[in-house]
Amino acid sequence: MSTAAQPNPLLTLLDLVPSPLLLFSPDGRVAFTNRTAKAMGARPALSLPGDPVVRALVRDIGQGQMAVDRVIEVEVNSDDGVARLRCECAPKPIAGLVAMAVSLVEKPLAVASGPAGEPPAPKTERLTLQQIMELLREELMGAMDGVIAALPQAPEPVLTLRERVERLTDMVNVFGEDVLIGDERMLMPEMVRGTCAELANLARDRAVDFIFEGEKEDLPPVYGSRKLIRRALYECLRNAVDHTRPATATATRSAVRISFLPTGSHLMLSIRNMGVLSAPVLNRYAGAIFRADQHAEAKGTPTSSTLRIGLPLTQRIMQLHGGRLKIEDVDDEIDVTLELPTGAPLKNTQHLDMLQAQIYAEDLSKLLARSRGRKKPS
Amino acid sequence: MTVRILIVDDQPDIRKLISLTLQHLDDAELHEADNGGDAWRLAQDLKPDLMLLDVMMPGELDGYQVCSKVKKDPLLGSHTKVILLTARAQKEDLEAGQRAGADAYLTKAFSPLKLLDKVDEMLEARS
Repeated sequence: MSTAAQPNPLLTLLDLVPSPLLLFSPDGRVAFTNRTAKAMGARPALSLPGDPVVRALVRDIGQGQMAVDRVIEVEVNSDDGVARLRCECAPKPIAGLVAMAVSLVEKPLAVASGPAGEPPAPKTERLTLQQIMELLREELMGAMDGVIAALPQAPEPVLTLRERVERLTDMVNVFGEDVLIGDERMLMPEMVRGTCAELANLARDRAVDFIFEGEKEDLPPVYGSRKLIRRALYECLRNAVDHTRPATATATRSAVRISFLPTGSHLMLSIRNMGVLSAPVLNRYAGAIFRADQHAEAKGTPTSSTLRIGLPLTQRIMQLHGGRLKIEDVDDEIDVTLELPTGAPLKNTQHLDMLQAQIYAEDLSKLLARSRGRKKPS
Repeated sequence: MTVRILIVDDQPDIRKLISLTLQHLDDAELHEADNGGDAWRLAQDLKPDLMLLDVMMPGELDGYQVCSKVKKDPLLGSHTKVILLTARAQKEDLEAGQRAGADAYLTKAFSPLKLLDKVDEMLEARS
């Protein structure tokens, strides 16, 4: 596909920008409004030229003066009442025009005043949910540990309560204020190996090997929160190791099989407890065995510090990533499958679009000059 | 001699911006793809001289993977230059690009002049 020449590249470019953008002449009149700005309810092309602060800013930049603050916020009348607009000007005029990116500022929440018009109470620093839970844990755990230590045999309800507080704190640490899924790129085999290494001590004690299947270099990456996915993996793998059968006289080691299967839009990660395997059977998988305790990452990794979050929360982690957790009973063995969507999430590019538009606007005259220089003589 | 350039980004506006910037290149044939899978198929068909490749894209292949496939392909590996486009320029992102075999890295938001310079540099390195 060869592209055809555009009649007005500057305006075509600016019209393509998905953020509202205006060009002002130095006398404060609007010379161009892109299609996104035209679609705004606040109608910046009509409202902004009348604002004295906007006019002063445009005049200063148009005259080549260095503006103290190129970003201002102004209130204008819009279709929905008064709107607050954030206006950001390019530092220098381009072809004699001043470029301005406009965005709508969310209305701040009304602050309640005190009785009889008293000013509101000064803001105090608030504890985060994690800090509150940590405080709660410290307060309760000390007391409970004291009770447990004082008794010859701790009553079951106290131990259960202690475990529940631990789990609650841990849950808040995992989900507390961090449920916004990031866009970290994760290669699952690498993540799974790291998690297996976390379980090294437990796997060694229970004589469990991990067998990897379908591990290929071009497996699709998964995007999301590394911390949450790691916890979900930990839960599933720990579950599998916990449920391995004890070794018998003829078979000395158990195995957990981890297989990877890309299906296009998803990566299926299946974790299956294979039970106790005899030495000849285990030998067949020799090339695929991963002994966590021999792995370098395993050194000094405290297994006990990672608490269980349970399969319902693991399911929730999967859902937050647009995936799911399937648990099936296959031949009396539990098969857990994590279905993870592949590919990057949709990008929130508003800020980047504005920046891109500014950079293009700033460099456009140079670009056009360069394009003319490139054209072949006819 | 005509040079083939494949522009890959899931955002149509970015593809359009790049096309507009490169349209004045002499004898350039511009092609576009909006996901990694299509990009890889087109790359095999067209054998482009240069790919401008977004890193984070939905679908089964992201930019790093397409780059890695192109660079490992016996026909494309040494023929096709790859410029990765990304909004993220952390050390680990750059390292991932290097591991994938990218020839250059351009951080979004990019200047059209830098883009042209980079494209010129890559095409000159080919010839």
